[in-house]
Amino acid sequence: MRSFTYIITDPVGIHARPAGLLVKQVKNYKSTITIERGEKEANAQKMMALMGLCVKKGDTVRVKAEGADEEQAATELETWFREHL
Amino acid sequence: MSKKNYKELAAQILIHVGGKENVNRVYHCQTRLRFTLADEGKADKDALEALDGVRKVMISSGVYQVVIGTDVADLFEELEPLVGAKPDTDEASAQKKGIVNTIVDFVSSVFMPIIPALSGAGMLKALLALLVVFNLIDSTSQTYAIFNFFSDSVFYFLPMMLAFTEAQKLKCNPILAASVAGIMIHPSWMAFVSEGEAVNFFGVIPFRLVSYASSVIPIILVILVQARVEKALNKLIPKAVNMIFVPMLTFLIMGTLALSLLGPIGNFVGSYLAIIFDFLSVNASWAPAVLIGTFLPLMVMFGMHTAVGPLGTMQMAQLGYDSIFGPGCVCSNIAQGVAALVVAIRTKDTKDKSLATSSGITALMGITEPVLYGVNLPKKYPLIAAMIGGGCGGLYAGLTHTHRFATGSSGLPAVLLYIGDDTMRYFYNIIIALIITVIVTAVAAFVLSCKFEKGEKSSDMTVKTPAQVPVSGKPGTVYAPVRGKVVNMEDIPDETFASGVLGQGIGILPSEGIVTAPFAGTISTVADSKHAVGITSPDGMELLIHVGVNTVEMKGKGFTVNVKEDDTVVAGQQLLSFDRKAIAEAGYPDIVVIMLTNAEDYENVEIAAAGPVEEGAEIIRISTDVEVK
Repeated sequence: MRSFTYIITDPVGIHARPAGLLVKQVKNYKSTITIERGEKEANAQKMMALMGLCVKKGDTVRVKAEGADEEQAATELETWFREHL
Repeated sequence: MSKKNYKELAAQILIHVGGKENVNRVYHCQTRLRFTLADEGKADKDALEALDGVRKVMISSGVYQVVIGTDVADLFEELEPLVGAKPDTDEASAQKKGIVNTIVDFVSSVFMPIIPALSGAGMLKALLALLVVFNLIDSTSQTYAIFNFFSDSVFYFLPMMLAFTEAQKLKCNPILAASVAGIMIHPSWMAFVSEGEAVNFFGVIPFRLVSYASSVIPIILVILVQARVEKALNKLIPKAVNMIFVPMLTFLIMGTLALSLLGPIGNFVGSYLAIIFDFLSVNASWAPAVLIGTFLPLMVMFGMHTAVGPLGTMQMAQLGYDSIFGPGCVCSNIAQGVAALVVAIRTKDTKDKSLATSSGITALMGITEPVLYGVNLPKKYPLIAAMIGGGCGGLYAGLTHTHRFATGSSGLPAVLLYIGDDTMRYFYNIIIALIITVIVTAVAAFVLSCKFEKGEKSSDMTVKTPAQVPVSGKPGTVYAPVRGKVVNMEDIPDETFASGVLGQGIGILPSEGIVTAPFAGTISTVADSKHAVGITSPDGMELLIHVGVNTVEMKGKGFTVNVKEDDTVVAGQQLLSFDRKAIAEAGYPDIVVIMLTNAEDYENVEIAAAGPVEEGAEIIRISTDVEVK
């Protein structure tokens, strides 16, 4: 498993639009991607679950990738988060 | 694209869908031609998509869809004669419904925006009446006169407001429309009218001496014509000088038409309406209030109330009060609330109990959709009790000529609207009517509940697994969470929603700010900014309801959420409300986006609605098997 942490800078947090884009991005990978905020975690392929995390600006999230392409997924997602969230 | 090109394109499309013989039926929505083909194998998707003017071809649940764009109606006009008449009874009935819907939609969009101003003015009148009744001001004083014209302004200038909203609806220039209305109530014209001498334009065109202040029908006629005149002028006059000459000629043509022909015709119709209103209030004052009091819930279900309501507004403009809609409406709403509260007392089912209590109280405040769809309609007997009670209250109100002096919401606070004409008589009478309503409804509901309310405990508060959620409505169906007009996904004014990244769905341009549950399920997410709610059905549908575009920026201002995460809700239960005005002021579209975010889990996602929809109408159907229709 590979993971990284990230502090959200997007003013609206992981709301509908960013969540949708994230779901789309995650579909590029074979690995299972999980987003963790505090106690709660969500499968990044599930839009509702992502929005249910209520991630806001300034929150720290942990992104985990587990599967065949976890290396690539984690690296690329880290860049993606920086650019989009 | 010119007319000739449409003809050619239509012919090409027809060839590539397999010819006229292969088409069982063709119709169109906002952007697509929709074919029902005898044999989809005969259609050539690639050839169609290669045509200039065709954006895409989609096949979904037996409908062969050719995406054209917003000019699809022009193309359809050319295509229809080529296909020829298809004997199809379905289509005929759909068209019929279309006309009724169009009228209802037109009337409500013209009158709805004006209601707040009318109710504000009415409340001022109520205040004035109270001040007079308690001898705080004298009805000959200046203060009285000032109060009077403060509250009269909106009625006096009603033609201008109507011109504006009607122009918005008909997509012509609202400012030009309001200006033409201004011509009709200009003080100089009024001076002509009061002088009483014959007026001729250029010495030949006679203008009938009619005062159009506070009138309704004349301006509606005028703007109906103006919309066409303006369109024609825009086509005729070269773009470069368009800005100057279109308004100039519009004023000249429409001013002349309005004062010579259209205004007098409208005035004639309007005065007959006034005679009918008069006749009703003298000879059959009970009829409108009884009919509305009894049948309003059914009218709401069919959307008819938005067509009947404006009759009251017109009566108010003509006679200064509304006895047609208001009294029956408030009786009916209170009856529905009381019926649900009786259910709350009588039912053993805890979930029903809490829903009936909350929605019953909301109904007493004048909002009846939750109670109608959540309690009274599913259980049926409270609806019958409410219709009996509402009818009885309406009968008393009608017999006593009770009328309201302002339009406004029709809950308990609405009794204040019945203070006017410097008397408290109507106020007392509406209260008596409501007491009758409450007693009759309560008794009827109680008696009926003995027969229909079974004494079994069917569900338990502690059980909250989705499987226990009572499914009202068909599984796999999404019902409209808000009343308004359906917009195709690709036309939603936001790239992310429109592109389908977030799932499959539609937008609804709301006509009121209440969002109800689109199916029974569990609330999976509530945005902190209160403008979006996610809901999951027991069979796994995940739906996002997102009010407005970019409204996340409003940070919850103007939004009220009635549910929290993990709540279970029934179809039709209120989820949130929003202030359309606040969204407009913040500068965002208030379109309600409804997205099935796990659309990829289903083989078939069918959009089942177009045009105006009522809350509770089927909008999306899903199935995992490929259906062949």
